[in-house]
Amino acid sequence: MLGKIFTHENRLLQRDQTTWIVVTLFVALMMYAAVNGRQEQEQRQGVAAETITAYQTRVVEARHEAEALEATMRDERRSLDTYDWGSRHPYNVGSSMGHPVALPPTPLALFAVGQSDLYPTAYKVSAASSVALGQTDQLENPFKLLVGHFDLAFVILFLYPLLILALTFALTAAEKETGTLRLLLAQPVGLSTLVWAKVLSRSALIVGAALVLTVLAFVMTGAAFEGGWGRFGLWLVITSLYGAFWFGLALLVNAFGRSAATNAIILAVCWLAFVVILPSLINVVASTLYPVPSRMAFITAMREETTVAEQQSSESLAKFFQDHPEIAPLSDDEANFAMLRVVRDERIAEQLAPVMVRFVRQQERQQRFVRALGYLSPTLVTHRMLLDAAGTGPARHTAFLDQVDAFQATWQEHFVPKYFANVAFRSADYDIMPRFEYCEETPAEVLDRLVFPVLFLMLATALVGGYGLRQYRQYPVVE
Amino acid sequence: MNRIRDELFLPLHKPLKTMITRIARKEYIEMIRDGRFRWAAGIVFALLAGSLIVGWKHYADVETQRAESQAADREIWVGQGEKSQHSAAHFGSYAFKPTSPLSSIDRGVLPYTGVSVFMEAHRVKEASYRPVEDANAMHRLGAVTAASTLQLLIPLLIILLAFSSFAGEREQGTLRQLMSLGLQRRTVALGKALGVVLPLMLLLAPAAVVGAVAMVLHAGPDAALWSLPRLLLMVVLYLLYFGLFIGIVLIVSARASSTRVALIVLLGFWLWSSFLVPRAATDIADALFPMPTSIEFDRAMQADYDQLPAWTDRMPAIEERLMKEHGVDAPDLIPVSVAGHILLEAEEDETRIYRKHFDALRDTYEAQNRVVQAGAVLAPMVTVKAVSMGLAGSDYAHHRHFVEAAETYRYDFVQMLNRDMVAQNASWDYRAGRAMWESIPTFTYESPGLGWTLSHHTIGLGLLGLWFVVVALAMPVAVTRMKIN
Repeated sequence: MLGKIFTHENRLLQRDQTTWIVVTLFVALMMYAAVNGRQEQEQRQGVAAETITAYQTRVVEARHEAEALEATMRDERRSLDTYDWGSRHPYNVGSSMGHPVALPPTPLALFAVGQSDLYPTAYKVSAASSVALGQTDQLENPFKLLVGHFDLAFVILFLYPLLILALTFALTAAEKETGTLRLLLAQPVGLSTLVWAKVLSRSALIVGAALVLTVLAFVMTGAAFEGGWGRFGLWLVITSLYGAFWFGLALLVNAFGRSAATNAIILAVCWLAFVVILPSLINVVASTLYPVPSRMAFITAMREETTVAEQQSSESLAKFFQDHPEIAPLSDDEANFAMLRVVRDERIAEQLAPVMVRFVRQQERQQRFVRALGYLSPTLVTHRMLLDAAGTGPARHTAFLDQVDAFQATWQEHFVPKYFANVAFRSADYDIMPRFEYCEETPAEVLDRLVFPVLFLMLATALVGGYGLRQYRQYPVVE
Repeated sequence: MNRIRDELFLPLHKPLKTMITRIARKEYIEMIRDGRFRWAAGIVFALLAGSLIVGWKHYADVETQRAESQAADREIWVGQGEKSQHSAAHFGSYAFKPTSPLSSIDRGVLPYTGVSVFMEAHRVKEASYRPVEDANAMHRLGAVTAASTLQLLIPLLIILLAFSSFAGEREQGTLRQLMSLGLQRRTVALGKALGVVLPLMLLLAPAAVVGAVAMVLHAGPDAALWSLPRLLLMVVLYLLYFGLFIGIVLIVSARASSTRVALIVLLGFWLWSSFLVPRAATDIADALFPMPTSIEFDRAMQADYDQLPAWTDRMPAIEERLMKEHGVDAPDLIPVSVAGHILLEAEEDETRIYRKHFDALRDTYEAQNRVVQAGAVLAPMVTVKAVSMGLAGSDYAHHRHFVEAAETYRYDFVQMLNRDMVAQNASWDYRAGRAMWESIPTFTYESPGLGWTLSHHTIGLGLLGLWFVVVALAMPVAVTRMKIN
C-alpha cells in the first residue's frame, strides 16, 4: 500500500509547478556553489604546493652553494670547520631560512571553505623563535570574509532547509483544506501510511537531489581524490541527516492540523531561529561571557619582555648554560649572535607562557560553551560536522598545528646544539636535517569526532519525527 | 453657490488627512492587539537592546585596552635604552587601531582586519592580529549586532506586519467595502504605510534615543562630536531602508493574487537580498578583480626590491656627492655620516616599492568593494550594509585610512632617526638616548570626516536613491491597478 501511495504522490509532485521551481533552483544553486568552491580550492592547493616546492628548491640551491664553497676551501686547504654568513652558517639554515610548512587542502575543501580562508597559507618553523610561529597571511578582502562564501556548505545549511519547507509546509493541510483528505481516508488506507508516503516521496526527491548534485559536484572537480572517499561518504551522511531533521520538523508542525499558511509561518520562524538567530546569539553570548583578552595588550607584554630579555641576554646566557649543561660551549668563546637569539627567545617564551595560557584557556572555554550550546540548533551541529568532514574546520587545523609544534621541537633539537657548538653547517648536513611530513588524519579519526553529533542529530530527528507521527493520531481530518 | 463650492473643495485636504490617520490608526491598533506582532516585536526589541548593550561594552573594553596599549608602547619606545638610531628604527613601535563609538552599532569588517601595525625601518607591513583569529569557528555564521538586527530582522518584521495589507483584505472581502467609501487609493496606501511605520517607530525610537544619549554621555566630547552627525545619518539611512521595504511589501501585497503568494514572494526577496546577492556579488567582484595569492604578492614585491642597488653600490655615488657638497677630497673627511645618507636614500626607495605594491593591493580591495556596491541594483540591502559600516567607521576604507596614516608616521620617524644620524655624524657605535626617543612625536590618528566617508559610497547611495524613486513611483501605480475582488 505504501508503495502505491508513494508512486501516486510522486506523480502528484511531478504535476506540481512548485516542485519544478524548487528543484531547478536547487540545481542552479548547488552547481554555482560547486564551481565557486572549486576556484577557491584550486587557489589554496596551488599556494600550499608552491610553498613547499619553493622551500625545496631553496634547500637544493643552498646545498649546491655549500658544496661549491667546500670545494674551494678544500682546494685552498682551509679547514672546513670555519664558516661565514651564508649557506654554511647553521643559524642561516635553521632560523633565517627555517622550514615553511603548509596544510594541503583536502579534496573536499571545495564543498566548504570554512575557516580555511582565515588560516595562514604557510607557517615558518625556525630554531630560534618559540613564542609564535611566523606566518604568511592570505590576501582576502575583509568584506568577503565578513559576508561569507557561496559554497556547498552555505547552500546545504541555509537554502536546503528552505526548499524542504517549501515542499512540506502543506503536507496534509492542503488536502484537508480542499477536502480530498476525507475522500482519501475513506479508502482502505491509514493516515500514517499516507503521511509516510508523502514524506518519503518528498525526501526522495529533495534529499536525493542533494546527494546526486553533491556527487556531480565532486566528479566535476576532476581532481584525483585518493583519501577523499571517507570524507565524501561522511558528507553525504550529514547532508541526508540534516535533511531528515527538517522533514521531521515539518512533519511535527503539520501534525497539529493548522492551516497551510500558519504552518508556513511557523516553519519559517523555526528556520530563522535555527539558522540565523541562534547561531549569532550563541556567538555573542560566548564572546561576552568568555572574552578572549585583547591582542593589543599581548603585543605590549611581548615587547616589554623582549626588551628586558635583550638587555639581559648576556647574563641570562650564563644562567641558560647552567640549565642546559649538555649544550654549554666547550670553550669560553664570546657568545655569538645565534646563541643570544636562542637564549632571548627561550626567555621570552618562558615569560609569556602564562599570558599565552590565558589566551588558550579562554579560547577553549569559549569553544566548549559554543559547542555545548550549539546543540540548541541543528544548523550549528551540522555546520561543525560539515567543516570537519571537509577538513576545513578548526579540528584538522589544530591537529596540523600540533604536528608542526612537534616538528618545531625536533627542528630546535637539531639546530640549537649546532649554534652553541659553533660548527659549520656542511653540505652533507642538508641531507640529514629534519623534514616535515604532514600526516593526514584518518577517516576513523574524523568519524570519531563526528559520532556524537551524528547520533545527536539522529536522535533529534527521531524525537521530532516520532512525536509528529504520534500527534498525527489526533489529526483533525475534518475541520 | 459659492458656499457650496467652498464646502466641496476647500476643506478637501482636511478630510484627506484625517482619512490617512484614521486608516493608519486602524492598522496600528490591529497590529498592537495582535499577539504575534507583540511577540515578534518583543523579540526584535530585546535583540536590538541586547546587542546595543553588548556592542557598547565591547567597544568600551577594546577602546580602553587600545589606549592603554598605545600609551604602554610609547613608554617602551621612550625607555628602550641607549642604542644607535638605526637600532631604534628597527626596534620600531606599534600603532593600535582606534575604533569609533558607532562601531558598537555596526562592527563592519573590524573582526576581519588587523588591530595593530608594526612600524619599523625598511619594512611596510599589513595590520596584524585580526580579532576573528581568536574567535570560535561558529563566528562565521554571524553575530548579533544592532546592525544585523536592523538589516535582517526589521525588514522581516515589516514583511510580517504588512504582507496581508491588501491581499488579506481582498481575501476577506473588506477591501471592497473600503473602496466603496470613495477614498482615493493613494490615501489608502499612505494610511496603510503609516500604519506600519507607527508600531515600528514605537520599537525603534527608544533604542535610537537611548543609543544617542549613551553616546553623548560616555564617549569623549571629540568622539561624540565625530559620531553624532554620523549617527543621525545612520538613522536616516535605516529609515529610508525601512520605508523602501514598506513600499515594496505594499506593492507586492497589492499585486499578489493571494496572501500566500505575497508572503512567499516577499520572503524570497528577503532571502535574495540578505544572503544571496551579497555573497554572489563578492564572488563576482573577486572574479572581475582577482587578488594575487600571498606568494605572488611577495614575489612581485621581492622582484622590485631586488632591483634596488645594494648597500655597497650606493656608497661610492653618495660619497662622491658628499665630498663635493662639503668640499673635501677624501671620504674619511666627510663631516656627516655617510651611512646615515645611505639609509635615508635606501628607505626612500624601499618605501616607494612597498607602497606601490600595497597601494595596488588595497586598490583591488576597493575596486572589489565598488563592484559589490553595484550589486545594489539587485538588492538595496548591499548598499545599506556598506554605508552603515562606512558611517560607523568600521568599513575597509576606514581601515585603509588608518593603515596609511601609520605608514606615513613610520616613514617620517624612520627618516627623522636617519637624519639625526647624519646630523650627529654618528657611527654605528654612536648611542642616542631618551632625549632623542622623546623628540619623536607620539603617534596620533584622526579619523576621516563625513564627506570623505560618503564619497566612498556614491555608487551605492545613488542606487539606493534610485530604488527609492522607483518604489515611490511604482506604489501609486500598483495600488491604482490593484484588483478589488
